[in-house]
Amino acid sequence: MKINILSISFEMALLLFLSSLAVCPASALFFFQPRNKAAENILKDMEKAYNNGECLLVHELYEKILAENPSAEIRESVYDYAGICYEESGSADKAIDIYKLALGLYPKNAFFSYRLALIYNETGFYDKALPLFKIAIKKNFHEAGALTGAARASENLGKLDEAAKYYEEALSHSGDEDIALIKEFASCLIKSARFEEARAIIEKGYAIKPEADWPALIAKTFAAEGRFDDASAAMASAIGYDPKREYRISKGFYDYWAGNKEAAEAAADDLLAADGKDFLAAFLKGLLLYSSDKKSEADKYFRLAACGGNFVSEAARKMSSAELPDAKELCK
Amino acid sequence: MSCLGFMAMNPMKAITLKSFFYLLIALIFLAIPQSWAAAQSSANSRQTGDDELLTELLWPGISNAPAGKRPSVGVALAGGGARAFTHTGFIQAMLYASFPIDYVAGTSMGSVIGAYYAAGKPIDDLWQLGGRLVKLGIKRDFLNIKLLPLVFKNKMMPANNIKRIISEMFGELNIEDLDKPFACVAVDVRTGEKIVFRSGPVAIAVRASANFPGFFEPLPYNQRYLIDGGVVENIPVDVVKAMGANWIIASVDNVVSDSMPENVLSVLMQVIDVRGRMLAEESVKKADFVVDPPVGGISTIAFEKSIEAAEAGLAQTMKDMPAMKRAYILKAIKMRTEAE
Repeated sequence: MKINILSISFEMALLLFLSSLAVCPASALFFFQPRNKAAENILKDMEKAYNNGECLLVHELYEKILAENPSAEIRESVYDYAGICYEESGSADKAIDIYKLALGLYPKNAFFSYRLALIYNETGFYDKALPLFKIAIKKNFHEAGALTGAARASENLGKLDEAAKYYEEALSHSGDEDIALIKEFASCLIKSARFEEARAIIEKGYAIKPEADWPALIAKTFAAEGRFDDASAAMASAIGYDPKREYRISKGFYDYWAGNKEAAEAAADDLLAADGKDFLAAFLKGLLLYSSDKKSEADKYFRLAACGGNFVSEAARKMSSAELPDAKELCK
Repeated sequence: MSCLGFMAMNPMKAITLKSFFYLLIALIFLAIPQSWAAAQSSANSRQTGDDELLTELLWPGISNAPAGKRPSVGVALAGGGARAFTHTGFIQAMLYASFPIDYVAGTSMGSVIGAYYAAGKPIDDLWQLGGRLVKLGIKRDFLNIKLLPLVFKNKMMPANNIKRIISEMFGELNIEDLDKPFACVAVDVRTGEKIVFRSGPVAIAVRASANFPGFFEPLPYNQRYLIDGGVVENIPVDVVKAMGANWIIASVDNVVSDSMPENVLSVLMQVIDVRGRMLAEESVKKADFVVDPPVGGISTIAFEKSIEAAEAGLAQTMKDMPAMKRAYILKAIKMRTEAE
């Protein structure tokens, strides 16, 4: 008797398949779900609404589509549109909920990690943002954005060396010409006392687009090293591009520290002539008079500076040789 | 034709104009407080900006001044076992900000980290230190603590691994040879006297300061039997003041672990933590600035979490840095005006 191997194999295969159906979890049968035409149509509407910027409609359709028990693939896109729409309408908490849920269901989806990380960065949860950016970076998702996000999160957590590495990489991904990013990178290097490197990157930025911020940043690096003459010269160059108050007062202080008292006094006088209530300029003027041993004259300016911000006021009060009345009385 | 004449002739227009008039008044009343608020908020933001700018402009002049021309800065590094690695992050942030450190004092694990920094070791080595201690088996001494031998043999455990690790770290180095003035605190267990090491072998001083009480054998040295200084001064503010510091920052990690103690050893450690915290309350009052990162989730012997503790210290110190700079600047100003 001949044995029909093929028919036995088929029967066995069938038996195996049926028994597997009995033991496998329901979720494994997801593949065999019939196409949900209604859900597909709603998703198309959702996509259209999203492209037209109609986020209210997207949110309505979001509720509707979930009621249709859509396939995993459709659901993934639904979370994507709904999340972005919640972000755009300023409902960060709802967007966070959606992305967290989506990440639980689709842990390999770098988009959700990236978007969630961006929200965490914007809302100040840098410790939560950083690992999510790292996931996106690992999966090569939106590299320049993820690297910049990781840099900002690291910087805010105080991890300045790590931040600098991310900035450097982000910059190379954005073609090395992103001015705003170069400034952030330079500021991070200054914050971590890596002044030589900061100056090199600032030079790069200056070569791309010469403007006041670059020499002003260079001035900060020199000042931090105690090279106040160089800092003053760099700040003079910044003033050449943009004579704004912040630069002029900075130059005045650098001149004071460098011992160029005349230049410092000229800066303070100019600013006070422009605005008699420039408390910082008043503080500088007081400081100059105090160091020239004209304490009673200095007190007039410290008295004025004591009406400035909390720290300016406190510093002025400490410098003043006279006991100053409280702010209410003093700054009437 | 005058405007009023037109109004008299055309009542509908008059009503419209009247409504317009009321609307204008309402708008003016609404606009005045709004523009006042806008002006106020702009003034406030300029004041905040000025505060930041003045800090930024005074800081380099003061921090770059030579030691005698500015207040000398002392750091008091608290004990706390693995939690004391917050000091790594604290020191890192101080270096980033170019904050001067003139004197270093430490207790227990704070003395290990403090001595390592004062010896001029690179900050990267300090970050690796926790991992290195784990690899070298620091935890083994704690895990080797068995209660039965302690009770029945009535004998303390030798902290062999800790002894070896500290000897490897500091070799024959003396405190007076360190890059920065350093001191650490221990206790003579027989007399209860606080012993402050300001000279002599670093390895002995640090071992004594970090000699966990109750389990490990007291360290005999110069007719004294020394145990962990945390028993009497867990945050060595007084010590660093006595060294000559005018302005003291306490780097603290004395949050009692918020995890439930699981065995006799961890209960005893928690009790020591509680005691340390009580002592700390007095010490921090004497410090000029306190950095106190949230490291309550890290137990005393969780040395594998040293990086986590260091990162918490770094984040907290960076956050506190603007306030710390301002406090120091004000002290510098006060010192200068008082001297003149």
